[in-house]
Amino acid sequence: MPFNTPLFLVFFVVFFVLYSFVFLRRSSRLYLILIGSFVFYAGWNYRFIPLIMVSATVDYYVALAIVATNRQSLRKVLLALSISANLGLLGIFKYADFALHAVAEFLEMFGYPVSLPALALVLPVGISFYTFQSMSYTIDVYRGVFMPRKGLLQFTAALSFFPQLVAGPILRARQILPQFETMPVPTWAGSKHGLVLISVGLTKKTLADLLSGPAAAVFDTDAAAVASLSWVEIFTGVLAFAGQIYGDFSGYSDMAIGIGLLLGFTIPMNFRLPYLALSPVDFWRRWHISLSTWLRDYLYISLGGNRRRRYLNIMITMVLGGLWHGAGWNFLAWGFFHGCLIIATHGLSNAQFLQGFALSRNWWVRFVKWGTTFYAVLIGWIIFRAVNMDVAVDLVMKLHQPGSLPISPPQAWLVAQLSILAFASMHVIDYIVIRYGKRIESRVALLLSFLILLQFFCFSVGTPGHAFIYFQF
Amino acid sequence: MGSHNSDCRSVARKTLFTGGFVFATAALLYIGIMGLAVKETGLGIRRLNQASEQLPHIADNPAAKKIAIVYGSSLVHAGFSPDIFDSEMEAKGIDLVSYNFGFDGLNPEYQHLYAKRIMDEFQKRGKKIDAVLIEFNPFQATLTRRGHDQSMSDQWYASFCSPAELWDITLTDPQRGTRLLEIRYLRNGLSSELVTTALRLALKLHEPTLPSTDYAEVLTKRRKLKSRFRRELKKDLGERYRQQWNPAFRGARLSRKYLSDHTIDLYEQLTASLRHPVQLEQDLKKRVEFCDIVKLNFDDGQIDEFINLVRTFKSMSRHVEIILLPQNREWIQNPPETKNRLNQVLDRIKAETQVAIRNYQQTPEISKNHFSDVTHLTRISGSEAFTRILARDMKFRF
Repeated sequence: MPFNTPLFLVFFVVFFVLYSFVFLRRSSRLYLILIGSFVFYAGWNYRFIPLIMVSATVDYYVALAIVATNRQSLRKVLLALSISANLGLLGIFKYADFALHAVAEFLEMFGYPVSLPALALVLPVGISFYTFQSMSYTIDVYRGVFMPRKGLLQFTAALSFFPQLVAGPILRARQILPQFETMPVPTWAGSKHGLVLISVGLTKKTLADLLSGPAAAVFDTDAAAVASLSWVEIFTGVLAFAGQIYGDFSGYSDMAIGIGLLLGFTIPMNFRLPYLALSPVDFWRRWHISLSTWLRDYLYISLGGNRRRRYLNIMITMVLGGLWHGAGWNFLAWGFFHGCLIIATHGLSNAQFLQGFALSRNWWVRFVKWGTTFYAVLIGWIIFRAVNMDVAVDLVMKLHQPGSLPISPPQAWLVAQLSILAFASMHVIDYIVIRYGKRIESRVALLLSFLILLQFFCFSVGTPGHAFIYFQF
Repeated sequence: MGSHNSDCRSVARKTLFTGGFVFATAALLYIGIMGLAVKETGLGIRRLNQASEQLPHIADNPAAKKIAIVYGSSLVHAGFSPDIFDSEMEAKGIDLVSYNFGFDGLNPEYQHLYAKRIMDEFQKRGKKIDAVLIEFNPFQATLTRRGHDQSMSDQWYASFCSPAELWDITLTDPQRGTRLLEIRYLRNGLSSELVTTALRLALKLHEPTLPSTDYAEVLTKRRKLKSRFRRELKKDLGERYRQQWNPAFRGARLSRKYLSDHTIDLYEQLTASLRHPVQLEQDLKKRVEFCDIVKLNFDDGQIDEFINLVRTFKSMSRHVEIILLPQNREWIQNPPETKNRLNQVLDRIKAETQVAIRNYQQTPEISKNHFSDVTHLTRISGSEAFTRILARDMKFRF
């Protein structure tokens, strides 16, 4: 049941009325959230609800067992059990076929052709999000930074909390469980901000859907079709995809945060204008913040962080971060590419002769940094989205040889202009909310006009039910 | 606890009121603005809306004549003249009133949905249609065409389904059902896909590249000719000019009876200009890209829908036939394997419906000059020529 459907609107209005006017006791609200979240999830596939319950139950009891024992070896075994259970679920549903295929290819390379059967399992929506969230709980408890909570109902309700269940943000137990203990009362200021974020998210999603056409025109093509594309079309397609994935995912996150606010819950921001980043490191501080901080806190630091083998740790973290997005060589290559970028950034910023450049606040220097970062991120998206690595390489090559490409049709320029407009609009809307959000929310007429304008836009050109990209991760 | 709950309720009330107000205002704005857009530009559905408005009157049949409906795609819209058909039939001693129910952009699946609504009107009055000629348009039943039609699926389902059918869909697929209900009742039948499709057409995002500057001159001349023709047409038709499904023409776009010789002459000049090889080549390219018009790889699902469509009409009509309109042989040359495929499909339709098929695709009496593009007959000389052939061959026994 995606947020951008009339069915979700009906679901949420009913849920909201029950939550605000009927189920007023904390325990009854926990049941309501749990049932509501399962109904929400059943909108995709009710058969996978037991997976969420397994993940929650295992981690709930493992966390209790971890604090109940002083034996370090047992604590380690329990933690390994939790991690194995969660990664096992992920491995079976998400990576098994990829691994089998890779093994077959590897054996074939050495002259042992084998035919390994594919499992062809349906990927449960949101599995990458809730397993990471659940794992963070046991790791935090193991590390002693968070005390386990009593009450499986509360834990399961928090893990399956529908605004963030299927596409994040990935919440830490310490961010969400205390809120489930107090069941915060929604404030009018928070609700106004929630309504703004829902409208902004829906608008960004609408713009993302509009950009999906030009992006697909470039990326849903094989190597032969790439040859007939002009550089204008390739550039447009790449920019359109950059806008599409940002609008799609950050739009979803905005809506999730907004819905949370309407119910009184605070969910942290997941994006901070990532395409304005001044370096690849900065980009990852602004893009999918809940994942990048998760990887930093639970993987990078566990590997040794900055203390030893720093660059290797960065590379492992980024490659696994790439693989988190999907089982494919392109995701792995994308993670590797970003790993290289981050390592290069650290390397260059440590170089003596670049100290002046790295620390400069000069406008032109900042522009160069932004341009370089944005360019690198765009190249990364080609690797991420192309149907295979051959096509990705072709696209990158052809983008850099404008003279050798076919002349672009006249409509290509118009599509390029419209794509730039849609891309820029997302950022303008984000900027308005960041810069003037408080002012807008404090004046009723301004707030209503802003919301009506955005809703009218979504109503006019939005495609309700257009799938969210991150559901497939 | 009490103040906690009352705070919660108070904020919730404000939230519901604000959200509801915003949603309702945005919806009203949308309905108002899109309503104007439909009035001004049609947005691709004006003809269907106007035809639907006329259905009760047609079913009432105040003239108490035999009723014939020619149902199909834009080929019928352009290529069938009720005036000519009726007068030819009169000459044969059959007192009949015919209607052009040809609609652009509907594949057999959507045609079938709309056919059910036509039948409803007759059924309500306990009547049957005397004759229905159903066009089978091969390039509307291809896999390629289906792929390009998908985006409008919700629009047509929301427009054509009966409330009972909508309810059934909602029960089996709540997500789709609520979306269809939203289009039908909250958006006044105008989906956002309709708007984006209209915008795409207005911005000409799918227009092919102009091959030379010489052709640009031809285009400029044509544009002038077109505006002169429109001016004259407005003069001749007056209020009727805006009607896409004109009751006076019984659904045809143009009728010689209502036009001056000058307007007809301008129209013929305009269609002759449209037959420029560059234009036709581009048109063919577009038809190949969007409809697979040369190879015709059929979508079995669409063939099934067409068979169901014929059965629906057959259940409520006294005489049903299937027709295939003339093909522009100069431009569309199907390879032998395509012809075999088409013959197989026609055999299947005939076997499963037990309805006769008249295939006019290769009729020698229709030449390249009867067409305004690679697929459509011209709305005057082309449609008249074909309608005469059709009327000549029709043998109704009422």
